[in-house]
Amino acid sequence: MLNYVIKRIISMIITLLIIVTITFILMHLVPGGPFTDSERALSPAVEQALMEKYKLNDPIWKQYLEYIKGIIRFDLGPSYAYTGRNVTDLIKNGFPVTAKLAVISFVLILIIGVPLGVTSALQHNKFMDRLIMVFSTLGVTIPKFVIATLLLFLFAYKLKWFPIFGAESLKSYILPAIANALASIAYITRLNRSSMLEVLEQDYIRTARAKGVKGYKIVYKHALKNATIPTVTVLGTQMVTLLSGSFIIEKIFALPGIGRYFVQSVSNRDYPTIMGVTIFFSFMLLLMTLIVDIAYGYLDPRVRIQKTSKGDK
Amino acid sequence: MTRDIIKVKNLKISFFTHLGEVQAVRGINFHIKNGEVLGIVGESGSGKSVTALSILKLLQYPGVIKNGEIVFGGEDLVKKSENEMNKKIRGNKISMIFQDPMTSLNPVFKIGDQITEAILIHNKISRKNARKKALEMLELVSIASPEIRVNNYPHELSGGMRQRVMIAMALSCQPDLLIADEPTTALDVTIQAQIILLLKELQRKTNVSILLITHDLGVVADICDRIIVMYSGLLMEEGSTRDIFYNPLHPYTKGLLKAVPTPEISKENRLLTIPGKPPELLNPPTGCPFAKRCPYVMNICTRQLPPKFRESEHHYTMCWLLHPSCPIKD
Repeated sequence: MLNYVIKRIISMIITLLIIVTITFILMHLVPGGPFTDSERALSPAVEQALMEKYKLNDPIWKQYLEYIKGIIRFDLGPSYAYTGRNVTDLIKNGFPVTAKLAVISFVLILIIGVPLGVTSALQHNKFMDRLIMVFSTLGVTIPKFVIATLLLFLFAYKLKWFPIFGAESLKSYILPAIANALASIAYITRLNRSSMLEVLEQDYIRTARAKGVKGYKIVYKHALKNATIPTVTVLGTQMVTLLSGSFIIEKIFALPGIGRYFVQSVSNRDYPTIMGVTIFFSFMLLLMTLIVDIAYGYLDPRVRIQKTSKGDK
Repeated sequence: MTRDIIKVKNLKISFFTHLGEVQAVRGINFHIKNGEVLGIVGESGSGKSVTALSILKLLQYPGVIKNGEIVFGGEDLVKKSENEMNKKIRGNKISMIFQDPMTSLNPVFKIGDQITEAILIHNKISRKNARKKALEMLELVSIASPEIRVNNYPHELSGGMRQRVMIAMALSCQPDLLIADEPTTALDVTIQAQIILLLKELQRKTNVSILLITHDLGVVADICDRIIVMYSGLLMEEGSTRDIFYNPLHPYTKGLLKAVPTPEISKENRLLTIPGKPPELLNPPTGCPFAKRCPYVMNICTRQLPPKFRESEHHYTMCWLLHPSCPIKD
């Protein structure tokens, strides 16, 4: 197991390096620079001084190496747009908000999506199943920003149950988390339903019934563990949806998370912030995938064995 | 005279599909005596597996027991509730092993835990003692180093070993009846022989009655005391293994016996088959279902279902050829 984790961490570092390189090249390929803003044009002398200050006149390869060196020291460089602030600080400030949003969304997926899927499978083709399927189809198809706006209008503006913006209390995270998680909840519901239906047809379920295992125990012990395997597999990719969704959601609900900085930094051509946030998000995603894969091995003994034997080679 | 452990009376099973009612089993009667091994032989679709599943009431919709009684321990199982079946019958008094050991064990639980589960459901003993019992069971089915194997997952075992585990699980609560639904079909020939030998041995040790369902005549000849031959949801012939093999009466039984492959391959010795296929059970024919394929078919065969004719004390056949006024004699 340890071997496997070490191997995965090494491959994570390589992946991150590739992401850094590609982002870096892409940004420098785009015409224009951080100080070529047409609206508040700078005098050539000032621009030159700024370019000098941020070492943007150095050859690209030198800038690249400097940047990599910085990453190793967890220094993501200064922000061009938020003068005097470090990208590392920006992430530190914004991360708790983004993380809270992601964690609440994730919990919602698990505590709503999985039971709904199981219920649907057990009520196969009955009224409840149909109802859940209608809602999950809606959930998958309606874009996040539409749901976010609807929720805001209904529960924050009309009913005044929740604050309209800000991140003062846990309450202010509920609407954003629902808006962010709804598509994933719907997706997990559908996935869990179909895998549950498949598992309930398996021979080992018949064996359990022949042993005299009670109905609910067959579902929650014998079937659920098998049916969750595909769900866990996609949880990693659902994390991507959650995090990228948080960019829009944070903007709509005015949450001071990282996503907001990211959107602004792209239009500001704030190189270090774009790079920093990209790297940070990539890192988080890779970490999530690793956790999901480890959890997967825990659920499915067949995978566990494969991994250790691979790692031992 | 030993008592009957189970008596099945006029059992009818239907599947209600969107095309209509498929009559999988159309009224069969049989019994199994204490300590007896009864074989049910028949081709695919003859209703043998459905019969087995219905004894434990494991049939799932659209399959329904339409009629009949399954008397076990003085009670009719057909009338029992799910709860009673789970508590007293399934895995306890009657247990079952299945065709494909590769898929019949839950892949995410250790085999020890799967056996222990069955023991804990039906016995009021501690987890520790149940585990001890599971180890004993694994030993009983001749699994080497059971203390290592209990902690294995099903995928770490071979097919033959998995079937042994299934048998250990099935016998862990000392059932009165073991239903084995084609227990060797999915296994290699050498492993098949081992499993049959094991069943025979365990039967002698524990005196459990066995209902063995198979289409392999070699298997039944080896282990069964009595045999019933099923065809298209009906019981065609019933008799001792000796009767069936040495004095088969029904043309279908005769056909089955001829269709057993022999090792000598030559032009004259080609494998015989029964031409045609079984009738559609959506609209079963009014007469004998075998009439269309029968070499001795008579007028009456297509018009009227034959009654059960008795040849000797335990030997019965459902065939017009046995009628006293039948013109065809062997």
